[in-house]
Amino acid sequence: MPNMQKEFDTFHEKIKLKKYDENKDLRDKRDLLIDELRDALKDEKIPGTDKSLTFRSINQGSYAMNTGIRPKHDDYDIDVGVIFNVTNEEYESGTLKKLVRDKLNKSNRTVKYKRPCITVEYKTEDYHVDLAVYSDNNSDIHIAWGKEFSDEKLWYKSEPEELTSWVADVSTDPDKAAQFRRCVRFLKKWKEKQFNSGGNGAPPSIGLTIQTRKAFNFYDKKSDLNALITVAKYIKDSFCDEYDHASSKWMKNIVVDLPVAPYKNVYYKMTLIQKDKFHEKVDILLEALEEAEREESAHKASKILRNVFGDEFPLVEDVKEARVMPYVTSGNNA
Amino acid sequence: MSHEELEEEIRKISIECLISCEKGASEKVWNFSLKGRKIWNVSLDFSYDFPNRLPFAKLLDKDDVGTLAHVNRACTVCVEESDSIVINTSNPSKVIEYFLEEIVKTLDHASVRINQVELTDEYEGYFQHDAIGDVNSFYVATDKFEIITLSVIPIRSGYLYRQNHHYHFPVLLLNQHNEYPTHFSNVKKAISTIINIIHLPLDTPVLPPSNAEKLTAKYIYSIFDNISPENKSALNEFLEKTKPKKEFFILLSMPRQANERTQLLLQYIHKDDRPHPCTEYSDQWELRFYTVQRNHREYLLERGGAKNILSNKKVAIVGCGSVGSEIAFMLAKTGIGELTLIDNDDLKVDNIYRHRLGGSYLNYEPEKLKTSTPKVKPNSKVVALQFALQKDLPYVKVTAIKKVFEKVLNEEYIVNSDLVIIAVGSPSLNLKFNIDLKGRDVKHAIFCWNEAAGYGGHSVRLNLDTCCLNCLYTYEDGYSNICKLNLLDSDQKISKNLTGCAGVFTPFSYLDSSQTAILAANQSVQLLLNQDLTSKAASWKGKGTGSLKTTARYDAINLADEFEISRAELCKVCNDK
Repeated sequence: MPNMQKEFDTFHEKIKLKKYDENKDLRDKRDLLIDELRDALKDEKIPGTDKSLTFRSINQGSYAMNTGIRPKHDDYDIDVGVIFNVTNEEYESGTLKKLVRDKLNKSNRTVKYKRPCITVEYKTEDYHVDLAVYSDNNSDIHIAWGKEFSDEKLWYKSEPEELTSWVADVSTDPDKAAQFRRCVRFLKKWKEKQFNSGGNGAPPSIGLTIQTRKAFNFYDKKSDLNALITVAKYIKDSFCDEYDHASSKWMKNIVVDLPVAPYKNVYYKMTLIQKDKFHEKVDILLEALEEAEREESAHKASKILRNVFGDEFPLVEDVKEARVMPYVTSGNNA
Repeated sequence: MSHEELEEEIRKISIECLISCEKGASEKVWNFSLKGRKIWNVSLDFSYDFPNRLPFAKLLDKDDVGTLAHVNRACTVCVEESDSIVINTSNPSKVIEYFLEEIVKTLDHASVRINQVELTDEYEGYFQHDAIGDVNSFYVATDKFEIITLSVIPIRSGYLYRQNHHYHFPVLLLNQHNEYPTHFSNVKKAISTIINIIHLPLDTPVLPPSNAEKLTAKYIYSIFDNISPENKSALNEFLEKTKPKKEFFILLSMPRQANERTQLLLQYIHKDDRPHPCTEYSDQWELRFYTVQRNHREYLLERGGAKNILSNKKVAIVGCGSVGSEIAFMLAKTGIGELTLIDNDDLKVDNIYRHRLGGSYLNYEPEKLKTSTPKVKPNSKVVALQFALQKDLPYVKVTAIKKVFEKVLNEEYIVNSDLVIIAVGSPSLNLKFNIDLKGRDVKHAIFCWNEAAGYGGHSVRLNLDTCCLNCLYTYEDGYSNICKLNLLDSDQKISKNLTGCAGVFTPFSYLDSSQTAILAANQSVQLLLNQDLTSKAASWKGKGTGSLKTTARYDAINLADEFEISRAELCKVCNDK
């Protein structure tokens, strides 16, 4: 078994996205939009009161958890939560979300009203901002959920900061926590390469993050490969059999609940066929990782890992004792 | 090697992975059972000059064919991709042992499912032997559904012709915006009968049919669904308007790991009109297919060792004689996008043994003028070169300027060039142009010339902000007519004439010019790729074909010499600027 840790470290350096506090550019972009929203709402009152409508912002998503990877096509995704000083009774969730949308809707951008957030896309910039809208509701935070023209518009309980802390609290040992974050990033690269570019049928990253966190009772300082094998095994084992009447076949299903409110299944959006495909891909991943671990040649192991993660994983040169080989390739040509 | 000798070598084999071996279908074919991730049964065919060539390997387990990378539909295992093998023929059994071990490694690697991506990457090669032929394509397949055009000719022989249903043979694939080089080769002639076909881009790569099966209409129908929702609605719109026919073409593509997509041109044939094969499945179709010969820029440049990165670079070449014409061809073949050629001379028969262009670019035909004295008008060197380059290479833009250099000095194509190359041969003109270019803020220039009679040649790349050609003529005590690079003593009788004063020429050959052109072309590419921006003088030294007196430098340097040029303190040109 060759030691591939150097290659994993190089790979990780290439793919990791810096946190906000190390990434001034993205931090500035985030603050610009938040300041703009604050300014646009400065004269806004909570309906029926003379209380000003205010909010505090929180970081969420992979920046907050420090598990982000560089986006493939330089479309950086900034996740922010805005928690308003309102109760669920003071505002209907759709009304507040619409207000945020309208205040941000300007000509240099497209502002979309999505089920979990308001998305601000810039025409000439390489990033977009997902703004989740929350009510503080007397320290009982709820998220404004639902599409603009859907009946399913409601406040429901959410614990975004608790989720970030739960992920961050993986270990008090900084080396172990760092290996956990590397593993999450590797799985995100695996997802990027193995599921098609439109993202159809790909498991959401938060699902992979939560499962890696749950699997992370194992730690091998010298080998990210071994740590990943443990995680892949854990994910594979968390599937269960389910009979699909439509296709008359046994398929693989998976249910993983959020560890905080609203405790819902993180894979709720995926169809059974997609989850079955997810299982197959995890199975193929595990086989590949184990094979790379067993492989005697670092060159061959790196070729397998490039097929898992893509060409950013370094290729180890083939070292052959050319002088004593019965035949060699010379590269000569005419 | 005789059968007996071969058998003797095979009997010597002793490797851990070998389970058994026995003679196969002929005296030179042996079957082996090998232990890897599973048991692999392979045959080796030694008929082709073993041990000077490696044997051909075939996988005997057909069930696995279509799931393993590096095994094609004919079951051939591709162990070594390269032609450039060096074999130690003195120990053939060791060669076989090593080859068998490599086969096991190849098949083991291929059987790890994640590596099936290597099979989908080589999908075209997997079916290559089944293709009816190749179709040329200027179309760049992306992930977008498109109506594209296919130039076709009627099939005029064989069983399809005898069926009398007017089937077609595909000739050339084009996009609908007609973005293809009509001046290149005889492309224009190939575009006669045009039909509209669809490009159907699969969303994800698919595996070939299992068990080494052929491409069938049924298999293809099963993969049509693998397209994005946007492409699906565009396809449906097309299908609604499409009437049943006896023949359909579809360009099928799917993503590969690298940029280039897999492509196959499918042809569906039936004796009666049938709905489009994407509309409904029918086992009545006869399915044929063609591999696609890519003609687009990115592919051709990479395939030919040229550099896509150079395609936005502009180079002006002043002087298109023996050296300049050769540089023009070399630079065009490196992938440079735009060349401006400047020369006032005509191409004459005197030139053809040392100019890049030969007799096919000469004109012997009188002009068809109404005047009483028709003339045989020679072709200009730059126009002939422009024609030759654009006919040879599809993606180089060449501008021909038939003028003396002094008249074009201020033109945009000189001032805005990334590099100006002066290959006029005359030292006096070189020094004059040096002053002129420096005065026009041209930053990078190359001056190149041959020494006479095969004694050598030079290419001088200059960053004119820091030094100039005149620096090579400036010594500690000031300017001299003697260039520091000279390999031949000055003031010898070097010129020759064969027909009197009007026919005076300097003796040098095509090989001399080519060597000088190589120096200049290399210096150009290093500069344009930002690999080396310094000012350098490069020289080559030859044995010479005369008895001319050589300089001390000639004796001192190796066959190739290069040094960095620094500004001469007393250089008048640099100091005047």
